[in-house]
Amino acid sequence: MTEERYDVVVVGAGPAGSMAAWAAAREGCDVLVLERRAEIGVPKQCAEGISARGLKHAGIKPQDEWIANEVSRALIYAPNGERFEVPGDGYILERKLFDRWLAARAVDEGAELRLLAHARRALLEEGRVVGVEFEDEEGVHEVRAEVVIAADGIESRVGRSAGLVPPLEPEDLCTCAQYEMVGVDVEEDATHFFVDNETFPGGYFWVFPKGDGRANVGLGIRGSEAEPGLALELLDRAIREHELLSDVLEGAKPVELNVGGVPVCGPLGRTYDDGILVVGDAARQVNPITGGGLHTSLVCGRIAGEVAAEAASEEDPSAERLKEYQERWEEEFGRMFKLTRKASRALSNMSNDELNALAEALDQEDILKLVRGEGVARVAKKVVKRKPSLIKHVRHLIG
Amino acid sequence: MIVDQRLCLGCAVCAAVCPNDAVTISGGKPEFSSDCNDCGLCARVCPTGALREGEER
Repeated sequence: MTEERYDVVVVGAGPAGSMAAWAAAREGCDVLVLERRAEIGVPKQCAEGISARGLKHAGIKPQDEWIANEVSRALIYAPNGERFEVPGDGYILERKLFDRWLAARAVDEGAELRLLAHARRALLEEGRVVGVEFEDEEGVHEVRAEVVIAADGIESRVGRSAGLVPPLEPEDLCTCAQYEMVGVDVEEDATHFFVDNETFPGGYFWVFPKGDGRANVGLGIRGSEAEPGLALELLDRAIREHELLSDVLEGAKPVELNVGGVPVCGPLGRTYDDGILVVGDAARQVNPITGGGLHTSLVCGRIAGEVAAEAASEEDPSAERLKEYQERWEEEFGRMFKLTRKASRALSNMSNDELNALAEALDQEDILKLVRGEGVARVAKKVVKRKPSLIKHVRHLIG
Repeated sequence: MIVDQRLCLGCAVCAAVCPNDAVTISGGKPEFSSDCNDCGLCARVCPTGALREGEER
């Protein structure tokens, strides 16, 4: 067994990991990135949407090479087909290219990337994380680090073995299936969200256009409502039969199938400990209403990289020092996560009739506020005033 | 648990929900350790239906 040493070891070269690696390398740290796959960004597990403000917040300038399509609004369809337009600029990315661009940027900055390097667990000494055990084609190795950044996705073996990441409860995740299709006949300047708790319980169906009739067409349903294979089965059925979708998707043909899980419980209560930070899907840093995690993962990844670099250069990887990561991401997203988590729970408990009533009570500004977790209490008060029957769902959102 | 290799796309949702930490993704597919007690939670949330109860032969 060989042993090496780095300032920062990042586990996982998704958006959160590559962002963290880039930020830490930029501060002059020796950074190692362990990626278990042979290729970055493959297979994609994402609808590939990000808001223009999210990308800007992450400090990333839009690049033609990884932008498939630009949108200027979201269209949200209530179960009865009533549709709402919410303005907002955004991009549908080519995640395979975006993820690779992010990883290449980190490598250009000096980070070392190892592919087919499968992190098995955090190395613990006296309760502190001091490195990672990983396996590659040559065998099992230990690599030591001042700070380990676990960006190892929804299952987060490293976060789990460090005692920071508990298993997801079924109601805390959406199980998702998506086709990339060609021949999709939708307005391509918009993302499309179909909300229907009878057909897509605790989740929604989406169509995210990538231009020239290409689109990500998929759905997520709450794990607690799932049965084996149900996500894919519902996707096929909705494409064939759903009254709002079958017209749009008539003649559309799949060219790729993607599946995955999205954590919708809101972030972990604690994302740091002695020698370790947890980011991205591993830390459940996903907006529980939209299931969107790109914006938050990129920003949190950057913060993690910066804090890890500072702590490593001070040779102080203590939890006390690394707590700054949590403080900084909570400053950016804490309130949003708290409110969207509550609102998400309320939405997932509503019947289709209640969702239709809710849609009647809301205008586009309200929907935007809900999704961003801004002014949720005010929106909830308005809902109660206009649709008193919904009080049982939104009562806890007030005050 | 038995993995249908043809249906499994390696998304790791099974590993994320396993209460016993019995699932490792290796070579893009789940492997079950002896800690698996066939609770079936992983099969339930599997998006493609690639998992079913029983012993791998």
